[in-house]
Amino acid sequence: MKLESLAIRGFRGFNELRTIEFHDAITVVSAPNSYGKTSITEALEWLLYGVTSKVEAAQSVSATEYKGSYRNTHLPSTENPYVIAALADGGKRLEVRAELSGEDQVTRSVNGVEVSAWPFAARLSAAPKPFVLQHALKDLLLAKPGDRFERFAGLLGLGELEQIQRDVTSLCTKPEACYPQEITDLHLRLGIVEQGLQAKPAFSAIRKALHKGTTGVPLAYKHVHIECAKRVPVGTDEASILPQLLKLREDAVREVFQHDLSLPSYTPDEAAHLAREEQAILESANGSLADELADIAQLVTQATALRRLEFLDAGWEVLVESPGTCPFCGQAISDETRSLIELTRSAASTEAKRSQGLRGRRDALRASLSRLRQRLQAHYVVSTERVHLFLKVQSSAAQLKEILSPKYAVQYEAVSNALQDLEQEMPALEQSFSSAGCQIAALDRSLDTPEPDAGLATTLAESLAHYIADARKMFGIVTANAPHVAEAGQVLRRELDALAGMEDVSLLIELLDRRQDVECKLAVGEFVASLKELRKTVDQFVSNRMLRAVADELSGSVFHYSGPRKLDTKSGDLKQ
Amino acid sequence: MDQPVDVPSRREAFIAELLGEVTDPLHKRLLSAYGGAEPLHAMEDELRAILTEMVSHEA
Repeated sequence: MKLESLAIRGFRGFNELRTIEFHDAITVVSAPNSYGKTSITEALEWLLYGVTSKVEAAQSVSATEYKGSYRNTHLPSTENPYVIAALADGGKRLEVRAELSGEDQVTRSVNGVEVSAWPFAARLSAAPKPFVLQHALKDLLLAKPGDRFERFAGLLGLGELEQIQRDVTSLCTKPEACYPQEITDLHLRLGIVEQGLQAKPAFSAIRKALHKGTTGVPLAYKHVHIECAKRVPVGTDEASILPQLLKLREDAVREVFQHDLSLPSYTPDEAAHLAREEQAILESANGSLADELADIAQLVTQATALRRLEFLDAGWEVLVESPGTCPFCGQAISDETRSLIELTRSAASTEAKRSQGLRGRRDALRASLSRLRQRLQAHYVVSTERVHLFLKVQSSAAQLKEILSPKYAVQYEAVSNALQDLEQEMPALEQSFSSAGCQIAALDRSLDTPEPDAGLATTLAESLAHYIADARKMFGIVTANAPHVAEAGQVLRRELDALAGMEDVSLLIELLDRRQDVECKLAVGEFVASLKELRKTVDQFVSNRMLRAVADELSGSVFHYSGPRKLDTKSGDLKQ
Repeated sequence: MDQPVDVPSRREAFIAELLGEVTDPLHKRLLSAYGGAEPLHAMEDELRAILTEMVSHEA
């Protein structure tokens, strides 16, 4: 599409209507300062895009600085600024017109027909703006070397591409920042295996094969199996190798140290389960339990009413047969007395029904106390099982100290502190658990007594709250100490392997057990390394696009202007 | 006279061209994720997702 002419009225530096005819090849506009050279460029830019680069750039800083700046200040207020361009598009000629009304209302028309958008809008948005602001050139020349590429790309309309390149570079140079926790854990797990392989010349074949990456894994594991075969009985089948090695190691290590040093953290599922159970335990002894007990206390007094009803029922049967005779003494009775007996029997019947309801509630309460007892027991087991196992190490504390100190004195100290904290807390938890259990039993027994004590419900609620508080304290101590004990456990395992002469076996166990992890780590490493290739591809692509853009910008036909109407055209002088 | 049509943004056009330059399917996934208001974050999220899949043996 070629620009043939531009007519400007009331826009920027132009007041009167001016029409500029453009040459087929190139037109140079030359004039002193403030003669409107920039206004010509801005008029065309505004016509095509509805905004000029200058205003667009200024609006990002201040919305008002260039407000109303398109309109020529001398244009009569009754008239609107407008710009008309004559464009040659293939064989067609378009006259496009844009008129500004108000602050920023633009009315567009093509060949006299109003349009909402230019018919060539798609081509406009897909191409860089062919306008370069004076200050953009200045910025480019004064930019720091590191920024020059970015500015230059911006000038060539490749700002978005340059941004893509920067983002890809950022991603590919620091992929570790995106490592999920699983990758960090994987590296930690395999770190010890890698150290072990480095330290064992006998395993150099395994190490060299793994050094080749994922393609070396089959060969590495061939060597692993060769090494394993040396340490298990002849004829051991493939599936039995790992169990054999584990047993070999376990037997040897047990000769040195009897106990397991382990205090696992509660898993998120376990923690959530414990929290739910604690809530349920506390809710089971809330205020309604006391109310229920108070109601059930009435059950005993109503037992008398029940016996009385049985007595009245028996008498009533006799009275029905002999309505005029008292069923109890045989004397004649009046109608009034008979009605009184009937009334009394009816009231006793109502009381008996109520008593039956209370009996049902008492059974339900007994069942819920039974469930509470089970729930409490299960909570206690989950809370303390690992603590009881860990505390068994106490009996071998002196030996543990001998193995870990002085090299791993810090780890031993951590274990020692954990033992001390848990030993101190354990009796309190056991006591409150036992007390809560006793209170449940007391309440259960009281349901059969003449007058159940509603105060027992309050005592039970207090006991349960006390137990839960102690259990939470224990949970906190375990959670705080578990990572330190785990670290000490790993150190102890290595020391025991060394003392028992099982370092090689232990390493082979790790390699067999973690083959999937090994493959995964190598695959991740290769993928991360491949990001350098991605970066190179993007760099090359951007570089090519930049060169192409420069070539496009600096190619074309130029002419020497040597006077009005006399054109001496010469092609390709600046072509790359 | 041609009518205005929806065209991909220049960023999308560049990414489409770049996708033609890479062959690694995981690299293609990363570049395809580049978009939205925070394209770098979107690409980082995709890298995180790829690594998570690898470690959980899905990729």
